Amino acid sequence: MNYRQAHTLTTVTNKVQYMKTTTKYILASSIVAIMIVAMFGGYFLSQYQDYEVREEQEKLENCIRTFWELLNHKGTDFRVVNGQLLAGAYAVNGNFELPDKVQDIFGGVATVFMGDERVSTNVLNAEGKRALGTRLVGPAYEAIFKQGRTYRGVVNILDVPYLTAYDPIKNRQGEVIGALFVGIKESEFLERMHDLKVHLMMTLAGMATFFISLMVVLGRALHQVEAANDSQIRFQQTLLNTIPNPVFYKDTDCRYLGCNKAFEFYAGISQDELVGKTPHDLWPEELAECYLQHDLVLLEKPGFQGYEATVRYADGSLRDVIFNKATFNGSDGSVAGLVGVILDITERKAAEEATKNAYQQLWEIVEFLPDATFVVDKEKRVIAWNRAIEKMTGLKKEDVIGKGDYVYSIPFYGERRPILIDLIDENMDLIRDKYAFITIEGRTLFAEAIIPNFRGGADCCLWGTATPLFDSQGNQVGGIQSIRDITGYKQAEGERLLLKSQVDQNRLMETIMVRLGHDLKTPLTPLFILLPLIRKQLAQPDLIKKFDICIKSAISIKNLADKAAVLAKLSFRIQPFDAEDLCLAAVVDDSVLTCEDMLGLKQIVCQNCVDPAVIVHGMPGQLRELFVNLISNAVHFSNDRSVITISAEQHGNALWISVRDEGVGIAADHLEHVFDELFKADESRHDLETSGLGLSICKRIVLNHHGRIWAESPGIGQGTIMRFTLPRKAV
Amino acid sequence: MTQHNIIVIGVSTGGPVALRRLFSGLPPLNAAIIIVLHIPQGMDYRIAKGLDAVSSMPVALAEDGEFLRSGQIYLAPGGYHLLLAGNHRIVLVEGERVNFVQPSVNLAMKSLTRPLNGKIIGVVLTGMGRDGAEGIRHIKAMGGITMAQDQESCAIFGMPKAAAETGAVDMVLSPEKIGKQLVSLLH
Amino acid sequence: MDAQVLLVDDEELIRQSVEAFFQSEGIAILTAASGEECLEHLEDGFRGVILMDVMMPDMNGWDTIRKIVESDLYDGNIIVMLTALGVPDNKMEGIQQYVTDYLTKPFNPDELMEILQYYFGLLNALKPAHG
Repeated sequence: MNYRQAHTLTTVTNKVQYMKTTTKYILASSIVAIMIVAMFGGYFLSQYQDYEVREEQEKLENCIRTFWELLNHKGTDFRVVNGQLLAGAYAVNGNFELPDKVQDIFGGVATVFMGDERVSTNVLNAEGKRALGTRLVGPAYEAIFKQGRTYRGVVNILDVPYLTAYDPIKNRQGEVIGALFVGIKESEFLERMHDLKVHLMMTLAGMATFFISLMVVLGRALHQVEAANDSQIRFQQTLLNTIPNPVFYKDTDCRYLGCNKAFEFYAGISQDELVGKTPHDLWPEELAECYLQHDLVLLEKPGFQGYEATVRYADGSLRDVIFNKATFNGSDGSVAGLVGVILDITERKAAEEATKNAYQQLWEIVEFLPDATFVVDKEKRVIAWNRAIEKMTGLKKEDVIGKGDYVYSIPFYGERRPILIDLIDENMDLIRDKYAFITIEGRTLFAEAIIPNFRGGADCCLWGTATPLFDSQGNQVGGIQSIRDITGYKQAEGERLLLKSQVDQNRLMETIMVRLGHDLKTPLTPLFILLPLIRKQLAQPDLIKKFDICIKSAISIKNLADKAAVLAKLSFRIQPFDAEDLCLAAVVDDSVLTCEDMLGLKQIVCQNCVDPAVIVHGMPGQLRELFVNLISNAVHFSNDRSVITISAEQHGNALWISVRDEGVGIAADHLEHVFDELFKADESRHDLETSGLGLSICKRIVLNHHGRIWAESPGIGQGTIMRFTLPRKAV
Repeated sequence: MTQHNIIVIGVSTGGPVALRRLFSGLPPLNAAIIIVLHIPQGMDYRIAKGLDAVSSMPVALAEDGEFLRSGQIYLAPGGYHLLLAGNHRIVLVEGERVNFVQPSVNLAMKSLTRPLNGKIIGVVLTGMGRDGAEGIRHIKAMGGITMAQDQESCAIFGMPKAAAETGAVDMVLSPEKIGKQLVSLLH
Repeated sequence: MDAQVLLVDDEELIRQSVEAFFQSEGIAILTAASGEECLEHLEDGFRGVILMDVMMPDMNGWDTIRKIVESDLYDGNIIVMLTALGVPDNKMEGIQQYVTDYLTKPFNPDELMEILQYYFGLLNALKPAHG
């Protein structure tokens, strides 16, 4: 397109040039023509005048000769007798025969003078009568009568100029006795000459007028054309300038003729500076030579040319560009030059490079995918066969890549046959109906297959997924399939299912415990209501004692149910860790306050030695329950008026919290078990006041806080330290 | 004017018994006590009367515009929200239930402002839901003292638990112990 | 003597034992095996303390309370819920102000008696004249 514009531009320029030249030529040639015509006319005129004069003189001579002939025919002896001029016997005076004959033959006038007096003539006077008796005067008289010779010349006869010829008439004695005269009215001759001159002048004037008009018209036309062309050129130049690509055009000598703004920017010089330059004037040697060679090739073989090059812009940036060049023809149809457009493809190249890199990366990703993977094109030819699938199948890339016809199925089935990836083009609904073992998500297929005797080995369970690949336009361009050997996974799955069933079992246990806790309470209600009622009506002390055991048992059952429900809740449900920063000393204070009654009953003092500055990260409700349980436990195993001490110390990164009592202590072999569910130090479990679940609850709470809990005891009767760790304030 | 010590008690299900346990045998306190109990109209005066019978301090339904007096127990009537204007005047407003309840403990507690002198004590007793937790947080933030009823003594350990879980509760106690604490805090 | 207590529980053993207990205490009691029966008693004019089990088939305790309130049968009654679950129940939202107390099974009959006496006192309180 740029080529065409450049071509048009050049054509227009040429046209204007041509117009200008033509006008000049016409102007010059018309001046020359006029001059030639004028000169030639002048020459012709003078020549013609000479010729005419000669012609007239000849005619005059002929005329006078004829007159003489006629006169001589009458007689050659001229004399004046009695006032009569005689020729021989012929009397001339008053006889008009001869002059009129001359006039008949030649036109003009003729006269015979006797002496200087006209005696026979056809010259007419003013009255229109023969001017007889008039006299000859002037130079002719002088020549004839004074010098005795002929006279030729222009003479006014009766005020009319005549070309005249006078000959003397001599007698035998040679005395001039008269004269012969012939005259042609000079006006006739001059008139002819004048006419001729007028014609010539008119011709010349006409020619001049024609040429001048022509020039005016041509000049105006040229001006219009120039004006039109000027705006057209300006439009074209603007158009060119709006083209973001550098555009230039050169003549057949590879000299720049012009360019657009983008080119100016690219080259760093203005169009004015550019015009007339060759590539060698502008570019580095190597580049210039390259351009020139391409230009020459193009000019030699006109048409279109494109090539890539790396150029440096005037701003210093290196760009990858495409040169598109084309020749254009002059008005005569021959190659007049070439036009070129530079396309900056740096970004495109970068994008191509990026795409290439992305592809490379993609292939590398495919290559190093842990799953055996291959990619096929639209025709189901393998285009990628990764390392994992090489390893799985023992089939090398080079044996597969580029091949179609189900080559990928051979290692699995020992024959060429469609596999999962061949189904991606099918109607998904059809597949759903046809292959029960295939699951579909969107257009991705999943399937498991048992390959018996895979690669000569054991049976193998393969899991595969295949999905179509699309280009950016959404056209399907191929597909990808991954295959995973899940034989091991299947075994693990079995184990996982086992584990899951255990978890489910735990959940069932939780449900049972919660339900049991709940359901126990309903039948306990009548017991709780009726047992005291009945007891009030009992009178026998031993019966009352036995009945109290029943009541105690009922209470025990209730406690067990309560704690079991709590433990189940703490253990089995996923506890949201709604932890916050807490002042540990305050939590301990609070818990001690809760246990006040219990402590008071045995007059036990509980000392809170926790530094109020210690901040822990935990769930306040659970921590309170933890301390209350530990304090209750300590109280339970402590003697009256003993001391329970609660303290916290930094131990490495962890915070160690301890609840120390001076009670019965724990046997070394029991230390590990005190946190077990339903463990009681008293093996017979006759201790109805503890549920055996208190420390289990403590353990669960500490675990919920990602800490650990353990018991320390120097031995039976020497007190117990319950220790646990808690996370400190969140940083 | 003299600044009162103010105690605001928020309570719901199990409230009448818990309040009875708190106020039975409690000596008169140097504080104006406001009880916000989730209660329907028609039940409020019964509770006030019942409480009045066991308390050493007079108990009455709070009336709109009433000025607080020390040693008096005010029970928020059902069907209104109770607010405290300038920490010393009762304002009863009708309005939508807040978190399903009316009167709202949170609204009452949050209407309090930091006192120039005098103590502000917030207490949350038994009840279902979370009402009072925000109020307790507000009172704590103002430098007040906060207490919640313990699980053991609660008919429903809902509101006290929510309050305790804000971390803004100073003590978690049974009603009787709360009473004792109030006595020792107010001499 | 008009009944002062209405026990609503689908569990017959509980109904029987509670009934026996109250009779021994000299307190007249009505029992209902379902929410519907409870409503019938209220429509028949029962006013007093309603002991209501939460978990009942068909219409549970909460739904029964809603029905009572909707039917304008609440006034003059005190409702005490009985439950085996020691945890709050979200289904109570919106009607908690009608639930004066919440007892966990198995309840101590002496404590129950003490509470009931208090509630009887509240129910007997006269509405003060507003002036």
